[in-house]
Amino acid sequence: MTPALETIGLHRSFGGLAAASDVSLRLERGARHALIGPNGAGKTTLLNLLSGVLAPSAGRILLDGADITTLAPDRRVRRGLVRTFQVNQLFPALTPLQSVGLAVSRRLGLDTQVWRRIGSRPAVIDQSVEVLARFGLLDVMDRPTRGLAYGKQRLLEIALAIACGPRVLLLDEPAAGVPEGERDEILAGVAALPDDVTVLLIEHDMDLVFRFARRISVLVAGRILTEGTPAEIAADPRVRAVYLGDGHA
Amino acid sequence: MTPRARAAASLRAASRWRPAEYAFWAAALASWLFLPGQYLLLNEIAIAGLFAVSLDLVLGYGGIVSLGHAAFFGFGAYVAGLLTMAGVAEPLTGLLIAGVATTLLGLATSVLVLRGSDLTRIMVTLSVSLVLLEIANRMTWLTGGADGLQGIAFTPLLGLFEFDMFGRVAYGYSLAVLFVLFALARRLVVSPFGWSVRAASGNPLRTAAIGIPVTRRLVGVYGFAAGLAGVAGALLAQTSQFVSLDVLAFHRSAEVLLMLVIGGTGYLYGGLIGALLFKVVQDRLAELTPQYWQFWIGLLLVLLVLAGRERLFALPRAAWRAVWRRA
Repeated sequence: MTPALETIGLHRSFGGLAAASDVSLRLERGARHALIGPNGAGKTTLLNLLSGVLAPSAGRILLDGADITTLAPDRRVRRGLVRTFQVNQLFPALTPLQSVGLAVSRRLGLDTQVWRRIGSRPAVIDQSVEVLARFGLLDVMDRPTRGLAYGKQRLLEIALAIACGPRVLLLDEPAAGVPEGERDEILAGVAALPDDVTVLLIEHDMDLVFRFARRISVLVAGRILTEGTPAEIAADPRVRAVYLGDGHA
Repeated sequence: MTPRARAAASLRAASRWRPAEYAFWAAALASWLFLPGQYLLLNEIAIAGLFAVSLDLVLGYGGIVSLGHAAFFGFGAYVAGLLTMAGVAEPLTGLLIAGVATTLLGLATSVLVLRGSDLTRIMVTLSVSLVLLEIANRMTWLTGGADGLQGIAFTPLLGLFEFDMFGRVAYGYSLAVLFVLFALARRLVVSPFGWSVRAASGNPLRTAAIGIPVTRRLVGVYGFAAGLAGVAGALLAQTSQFVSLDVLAFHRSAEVLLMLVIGGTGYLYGGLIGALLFKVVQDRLAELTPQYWQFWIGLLLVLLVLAGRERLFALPRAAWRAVWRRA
């Protein structure tokens, strides 16, 4: 079967530093894949390459077998490759409803409408409310985003991506900065995704990684060190060495 | 109320016309009915208002700082003026052609403008307007150069209403055009397109990440706004029956920016309110001190900046908001 997302020899360097070096990843459809690695291993660089925020120096990216290496970020989203950001990237002046409504409008191909007001189609309202409800944002949906509590903003960060109707979802440390008690809420909405949606998760919280992922890749200094099931990764002495050597337990 | 109904109501409320807006336009209509002595000034205000609304779309919604918006105003004015010489003397037809032509100019120059940062944009917009000014200055065979376009004349509006010397038809015409185009702009900013423009200027990274092409959105709004500015310029050419290099001058770009600063950006009425205040103050000062009005208006602006618009207008704005909210 064609993998949902595949990279072949992906490479990117900043000056002399190779932030991603010969990265070949393969995510089957419906995969729950995690990417872990110490700080500075190049996880976010890899995600920026996948989403098109950065251009690779070499290598190829395939989405459902089609080459998307040179595609602009918004074109990739239209093909179903959607990401979230480690640091919230929201629309501070818009309400969650307006933000999500805009993403849903785009997915339904209504974003170039100039004559009808936003949300005049019932489908936009239905789907926006469904996404907001899934992330517990209904009670704050018409307050400006800039005034929301951090936890709510974090949920909106992911809700916005879900509203785009991803077939492949890239999550960049979704639980970053969220207190431990609220982390389950963050991933609950992701876990509720249909089985055929492919998810790549970057995360520091090992608890979360091991609960969520069915496969794990370990990135060290821009290279894939190893890949395997959570059990294999947990037992791998090289992985332990990397984490212990780096000061993480 | 179900969440669904609440969401639908919330989105609808964000685009509904408020009582204060009806009052605003009723007052504008009343000014045409009951202030015949002020038609010339009112006409200037309507034209400046449309020009400022255009800049608000670019600056307040698109986040593009422009110091050369007169390029479009002047271009529209020249197109409207030149059309009469080419035999198109019906004002509304001329207005339409000027608007379309200026939209195309806006789309063409947006390629330059949308590159780079705020500072580059200021420089590029300024340069575009200066280049146009110099072209108009040099092409004397077409534009009359420093003498301006001589002998432009229009047939009666729609073949029915002749421009009279008191400006009754002129102001009615400008006000009607302003209202129609304002309503269009207002409609645009609450459409999915309008929201995507706001999103694109607020957070381009995330806008692209929800699948919206940022540059194309900004090009779109820049082109539309350019068209509005062109229509404003065309209105000036038609109602004053004269076009000179002054329509492209830098002071026009600066003044319209001042009007917008006075009235506030990002809610469309700021341009109208700013134009009204600016022109009325300018007119009163010119009457009081014909020689020194520029000094006084300069001083007022310095005070405005020092005190801050927020503080100066806190009271009227609070009143406005109260009406706005209650709606």
